[in-house]
Amino acid sequence: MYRYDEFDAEFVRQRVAQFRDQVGRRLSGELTEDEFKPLRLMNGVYLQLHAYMLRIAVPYGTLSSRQLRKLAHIARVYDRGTGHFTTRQNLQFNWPRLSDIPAILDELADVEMHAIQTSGNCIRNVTADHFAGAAADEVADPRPYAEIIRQWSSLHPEFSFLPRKFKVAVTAAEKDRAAIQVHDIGLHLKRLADGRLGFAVYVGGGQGRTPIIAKLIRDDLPEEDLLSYLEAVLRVYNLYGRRDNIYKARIKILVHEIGAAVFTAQVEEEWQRIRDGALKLPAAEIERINAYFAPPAFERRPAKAALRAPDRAFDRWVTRNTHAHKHPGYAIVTISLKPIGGIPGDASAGQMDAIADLAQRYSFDEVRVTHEQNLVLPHVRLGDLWDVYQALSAIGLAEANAGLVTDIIACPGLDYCALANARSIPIAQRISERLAGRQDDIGDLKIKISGCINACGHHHVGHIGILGVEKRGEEHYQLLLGGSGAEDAALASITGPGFGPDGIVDAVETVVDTYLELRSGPEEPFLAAYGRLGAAPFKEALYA
Amino acid sequence: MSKTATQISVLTANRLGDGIVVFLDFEGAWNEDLEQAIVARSPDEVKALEDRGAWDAVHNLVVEPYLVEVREEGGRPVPIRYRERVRVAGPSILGDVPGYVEPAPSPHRSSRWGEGRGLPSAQAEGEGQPHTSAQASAPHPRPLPVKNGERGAGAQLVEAA
Repeated sequence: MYRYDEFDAEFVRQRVAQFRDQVGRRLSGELTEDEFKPLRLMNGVYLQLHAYMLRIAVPYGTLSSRQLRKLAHIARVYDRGTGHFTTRQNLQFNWPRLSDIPAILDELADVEMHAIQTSGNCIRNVTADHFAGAAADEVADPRPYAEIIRQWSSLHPEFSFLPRKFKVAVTAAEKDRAAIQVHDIGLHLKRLADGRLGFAVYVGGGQGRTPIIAKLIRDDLPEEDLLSYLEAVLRVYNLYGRRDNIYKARIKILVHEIGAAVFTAQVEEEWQRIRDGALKLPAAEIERINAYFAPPAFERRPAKAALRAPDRAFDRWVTRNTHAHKHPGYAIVTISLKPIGGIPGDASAGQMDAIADLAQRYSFDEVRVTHEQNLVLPHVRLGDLWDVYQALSAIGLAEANAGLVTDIIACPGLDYCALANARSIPIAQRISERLAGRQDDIGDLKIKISGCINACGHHHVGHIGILGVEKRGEEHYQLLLGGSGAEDAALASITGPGFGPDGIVDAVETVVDTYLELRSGPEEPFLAAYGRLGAAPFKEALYA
Repeated sequence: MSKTATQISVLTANRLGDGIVVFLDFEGAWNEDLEQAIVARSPDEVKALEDRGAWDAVHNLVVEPYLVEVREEGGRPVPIRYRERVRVAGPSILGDVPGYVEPAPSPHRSSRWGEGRGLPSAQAEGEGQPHTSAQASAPHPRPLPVKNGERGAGAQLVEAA
């Protein structure tokens, strides 16, 4: 994985020192909240419902064991013993004291981490396929390009005060595990017609109060032109994006309002002007960054090792929570942070330490964070799966539910978030408990829950989406069906009148029961059945 | 402050040093216990609370003060909005989690409830004393008005994910 050079290390240390001074001046009263707020947000510090919250960047979702242990340490010493992994592959601490945050940032700098650009109207942490570098179905590891984008976008002087926040996601597989079509820019690394690596570029996707699927504006961008093209996109957005209305300031609105063709023409014009300038990526530089992501020293192993043990629970776990690896004899392991009835995305300090140990021993020191709020051990020998499973069982994280109905995305919701209108986590917990006994029979089904219209819980692209709203001062939930954040990206549709906190769990079960009754067979997953049947039978079951 | 109560209200904010939710109490201190909050029952009292919140925000005792509408149940104030009830009670989720164990208090702080290190002395008066953190250290002879809608409006920064 990428290691800081001297410039990176010095830059992060300087930033910590600056923020330490700013926090000191805030606490002494020298800075007002209005003066301090933009400064703290630039360093990932929010004031949430109950306390401050610190959002820490996990670049493209990749962590080392050492970094994960540091996060556990911070959770234990400065927070309440828990960290929350988010839908942007980041980690949030919900209870840090403002006065402790400079010390936390110093500790993070010790392991080459920071919280810069995890907030504000800038280019945020670049996300990537969480199986990158391991997946059997990728053309190349997309993370070197994510790192190149990270370096280009960090404190980019032209793009530090954009009309609104800006999110980039990268994948290198046909199966989209990074939800690239609901990002401001989605990049699909692939082989171009001439056999070289390049990108399909999607622009103007997003969720929030105005969900839009991104438009493909270029299908054949050579890798050496990546940064110049992104710069052109950002320049057009920076120039024409609205700054008068926060709700219409994202690039998706610009692309929608002027049309993809006009937007693309503007980008192409700018790109032609700058494409052969300083941002042209030399092959040597790409190679230099690639070297940081060189595959680990895999052993030559038989493709079919002793995978199964005489244990049905282990067999289920292998079936659901492992994924094909590009190297024979290895598997990718998904560690579900969705124990039945648990808080989606939460991991205790002890669990983080234990996972760090597993990564060090069994996965070449690597851990990944997924946008579905799980963790991944990307490189596990097939022969080690039993040991890994047993170790995960010991810490309560061996639920065999990756991709099942209890593998629920839920934003922090009203339990933590100052913007939320309704709670998300308790709804996820109760749905999980309600459907756990039937989850294998139900099969692949993604439930995504947001506590407000900002859609951090990705409800627009849930097979079943739930949106919490406030109705006459109380929690209320809208139900949506038929969305997808994958390569078949689609926006879910609202079924009809919403439900109260009790009714929404029943409503989800009604939808599931209707699916089970009407599917052509267990091989027809929920989304396919919904596509075939349409919304009508589900609405009838819900509202008849 | 963005909210103006039309009925009875209490004044809430987040404590500067740790962000914990506090309410202005009978003694003019910022208190973690809603039941100790002073209740405004008339427009004049509401205005007084608003002025006091603005003053304490300017003087860096608390952050983002605003009024919360409440009703009285058994003599106790209960927020009308569910959001505010969650804000008072804390996250609703931890007690329901299978196997969840409340983590040990951090060695870096006296307790969740007390103000701790790193604060200027005027703000640290409540250290170790429950319900008296961020206590006002001086009278407020010249309350500063705050227009409605100013809360969180600085430079259109939105604390969204």
